[in-house]
Amino acid sequence: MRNHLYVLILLLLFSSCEEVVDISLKNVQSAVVVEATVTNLPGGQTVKISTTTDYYNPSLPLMKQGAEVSVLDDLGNSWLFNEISKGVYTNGNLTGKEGRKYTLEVKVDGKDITGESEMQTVTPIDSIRSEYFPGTRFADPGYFVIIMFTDPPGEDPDYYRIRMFNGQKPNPVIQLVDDRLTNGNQMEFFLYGGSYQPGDTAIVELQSIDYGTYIYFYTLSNVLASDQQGATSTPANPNTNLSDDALGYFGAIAISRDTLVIRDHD
Amino acid sequence: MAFFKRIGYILILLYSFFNVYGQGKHTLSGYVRDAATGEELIGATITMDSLQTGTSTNQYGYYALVLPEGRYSVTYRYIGYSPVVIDIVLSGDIQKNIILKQSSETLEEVVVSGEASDRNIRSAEMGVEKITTKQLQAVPVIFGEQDILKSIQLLPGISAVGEGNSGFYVRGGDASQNLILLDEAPVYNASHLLGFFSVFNNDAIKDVKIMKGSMPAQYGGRLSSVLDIKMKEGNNQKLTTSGGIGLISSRFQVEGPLLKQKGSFMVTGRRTYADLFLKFFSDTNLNSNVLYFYDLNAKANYRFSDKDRLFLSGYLGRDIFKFRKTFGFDWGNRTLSMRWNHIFNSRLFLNSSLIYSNYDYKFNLMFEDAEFTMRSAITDFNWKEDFQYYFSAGNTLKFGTKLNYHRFLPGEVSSSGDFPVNDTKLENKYALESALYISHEMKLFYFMSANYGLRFSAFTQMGPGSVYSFDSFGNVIDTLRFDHMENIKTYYNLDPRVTLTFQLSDQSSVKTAYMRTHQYLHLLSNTTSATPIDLWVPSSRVIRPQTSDQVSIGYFRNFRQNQYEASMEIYYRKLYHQIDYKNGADIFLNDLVETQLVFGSGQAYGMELFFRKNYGKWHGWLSYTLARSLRRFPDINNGNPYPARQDRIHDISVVSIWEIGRKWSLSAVWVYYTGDAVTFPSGKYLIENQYVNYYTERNGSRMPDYHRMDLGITYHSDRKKKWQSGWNFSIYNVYGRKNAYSITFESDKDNPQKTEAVKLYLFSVIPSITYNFKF
Repeated sequence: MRNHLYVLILLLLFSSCEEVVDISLKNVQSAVVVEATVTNLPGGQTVKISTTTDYYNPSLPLMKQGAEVSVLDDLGNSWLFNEISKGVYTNGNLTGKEGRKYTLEVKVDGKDITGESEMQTVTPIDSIRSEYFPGTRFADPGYFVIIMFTDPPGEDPDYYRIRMFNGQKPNPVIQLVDDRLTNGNQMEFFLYGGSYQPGDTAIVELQSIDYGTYIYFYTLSNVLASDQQGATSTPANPNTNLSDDALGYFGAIAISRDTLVIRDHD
Repeated sequence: MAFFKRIGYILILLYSFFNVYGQGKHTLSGYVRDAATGEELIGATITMDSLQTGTSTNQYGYYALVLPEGRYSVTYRYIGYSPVVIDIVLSGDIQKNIILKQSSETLEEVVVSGEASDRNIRSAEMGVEKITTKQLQAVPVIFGEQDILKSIQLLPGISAVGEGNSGFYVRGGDASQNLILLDEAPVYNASHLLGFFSVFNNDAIKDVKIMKGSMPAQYGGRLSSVLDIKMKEGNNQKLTTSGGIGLISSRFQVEGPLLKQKGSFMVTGRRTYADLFLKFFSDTNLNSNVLYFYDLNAKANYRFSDKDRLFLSGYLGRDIFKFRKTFGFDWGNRTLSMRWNHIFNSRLFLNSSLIYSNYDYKFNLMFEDAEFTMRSAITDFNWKEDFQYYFSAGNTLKFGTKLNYHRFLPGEVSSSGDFPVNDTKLENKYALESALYISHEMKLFYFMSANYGLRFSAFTQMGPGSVYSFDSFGNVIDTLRFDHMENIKTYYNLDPRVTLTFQLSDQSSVKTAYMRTHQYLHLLSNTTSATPIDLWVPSSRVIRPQTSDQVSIGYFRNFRQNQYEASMEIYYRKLYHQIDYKNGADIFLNDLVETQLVFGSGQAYGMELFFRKNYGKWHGWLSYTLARSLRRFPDINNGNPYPARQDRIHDISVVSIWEIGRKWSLSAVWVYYTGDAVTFPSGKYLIENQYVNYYTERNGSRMPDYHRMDLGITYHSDRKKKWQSGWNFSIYNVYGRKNAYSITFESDKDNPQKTEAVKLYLFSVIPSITYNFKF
């Protein structure tokens, strides 16, 4: 919000200009990156392990093969993950359960990376609908999706991530909601980050997440959105819930999902 | 209240002491004023040819000299004015109000004959710069807007926050560590339009003083500097109207006498109209936007008698921004100062002040059937008593008290209609900041003078309110309730301030100073530039007062009858209880904002060189600062020291003004500084198939160096005519340097696998023109 406003005022005021520049950067030893989720949906458990690369390196980051990956729950069960493609690990027998606390263990390159996350209660989607938007100079015209759901009452704070897919293609925008100001209310959210055309299939996921996962995505979105050095705050790596200097996160995610085929309203 | 009773006794005691002290001597006292406008002149010098001593007028234009009986020839001088010499026979107390005429000669002639410009050598103050608005009029500026905050950035030890920004850093401190006073009222957010303009309309300003090295004991509450701005009193001789029309704003001023010249008033307004141009766009997304600011300064004073004078001054300014019909955002300051000058006897001068200051901002979201509003504010109520007692020439005592009540409204959310937000209000916070000070300026031997003082301050955060205690994860484990006026936490501090001046010769001196300062209010802001959504918080059980210790030493040398002045100062500062944010800190509408902070220390040191030609057809200055500013926080950068953002290693300003005849002047400014210390990525990785930058070191990289040159031409019509007018043309960034405002590390739009560095720059060459008039 702050940064958007900032840029908006600047745009209105001045015809500022951009150009690509050559800035030399330090190269450092690469670090391990873990992207791990356990969800309440079958087949939704994946752990991706990769590494960082130099900033100007044009090739894709290296995937980490041969890691030892397992997930444990607080009832003493454990699941060993198998590598199904380069650096991608899964276990088909595991399906996340509400209220369970899960622990991820990864052994790679002599590192012992662990992380914990608790599966929240699934919050159902009340409805999703689409609305036509005529477009502005900043956005193309098209149909936008609006989600409605009811935040459960209760003292404990709730955290959500809303994800949107166009068919199989995920929308890259990280949309997060906390109920600090809206506890117990029915809420409507406009899903930004892209419009749909008639015939498209919009898949919307309401993901209930714990605080550790929320703060990871919150700080991740800050780094992605406001990487402008000079005008805004000092950037830093997102707050991870993983140990041993690993980057990335481990999230137990309770998903409710709804699908909408976009139709021409007129 | 027993505390205040005791202060009362002390004051009475002191008062009776001063009445008996120094019998057998007499006082020469009075005001020094401008002949044309009747305005009191601040810092006019009064010297006796027979004695190696003198004094200068205080900030109300008052002076007093205590001398043995005898005959004296007394000279009154002020920059740009013809000096006045009077002969007096002192056999009893004499009151002498002096009127000085602005010289019609060129600056050169005036100064040679008039100005005792060796103040920099003799005075017992160090690291103090004084600017009159007149001096600045020839300096070229962006958009043709004269701006005091941008002009002081051209002085050594003071650097700009960024391109076109009115925020400033002093000796390695951050922008919130400067106390900005407008007629003694603190101004909490001194910038308009995200820092591109300051709130100080040059037309309304009489005198500006910045203290960075030796802050006298009467000032406190901020760590790094005091910027003391005085508004004009208004012409008490005749009604005058003046104004200016520029590309981005227009200004208008009326001033004149009140009640048979016993008083005067001044009203000045300024409004920008950048948004009016938006109306020309056919794009409805643009032409329905509103974006402007205005400033209104008003002041009046009335002289009840020779001994009593009342001043009333106020400021009101606001930025207003509306995006289409759905989003509104406005912010601004309000100040009101009521001051009463009273002369008990010619030696004892008192100024009593009641001051109000407020800053607030407001967001508004409007929909067809719903509205959402968010508001935040800080309000001060201030009472001050400032005494000045003149023992003898060059021997002055200042003492006084201050009581400042702060009320903080951290955030309040309300909505109406169908907006799914619960009304929320963060608890107000309250604090009382009080201080007692005494400072003494004296000549010790013929070659040495001293200014030493002590400031005792107390700060109490008080109820009503809740205080939370939390664990290391920031979870609340306990809540304590406090009642109205109940003490939550009190801090006491003693700040010593000393400046010693050793006069080596008529033309040179060595000075050394030590100062300790405390800051009880802290600015929380996620961004480095001035933003309207600044949040001020009081010291509390968690946030300790910020503290700074500074020592400095300098050599001052004038040449050719003070035509040239040169100085070198070296300083070293230690900073304690500095504040930064946890990664991912959320300071917006957060009741537990204290859980988002981390604390550390810092140090800053540097050398400042300054060379100025004070007068002549060509005049100007060169300033160079070599400095470092480092921070160390246990929770940042693995506990290793790192450069503060404002760690400007080299900072150079060159200001050059040529007077061509009496009507034209040409000016040029060149600035250069090392790029800010910033955090650039050292690598990248993929999350959800998006590149994320990998950071390993806080502020380990540098923005590209900044430099630019500005040129200005000023034309002024005949100064003797009734209708006077002038033009000012200026070109900002003459050679079109694309100085980086920000650098973004992002994926190429067409090829996401290719990541690159993208520079954003705001200004290339910007010409501007302003028309000024006066009648």
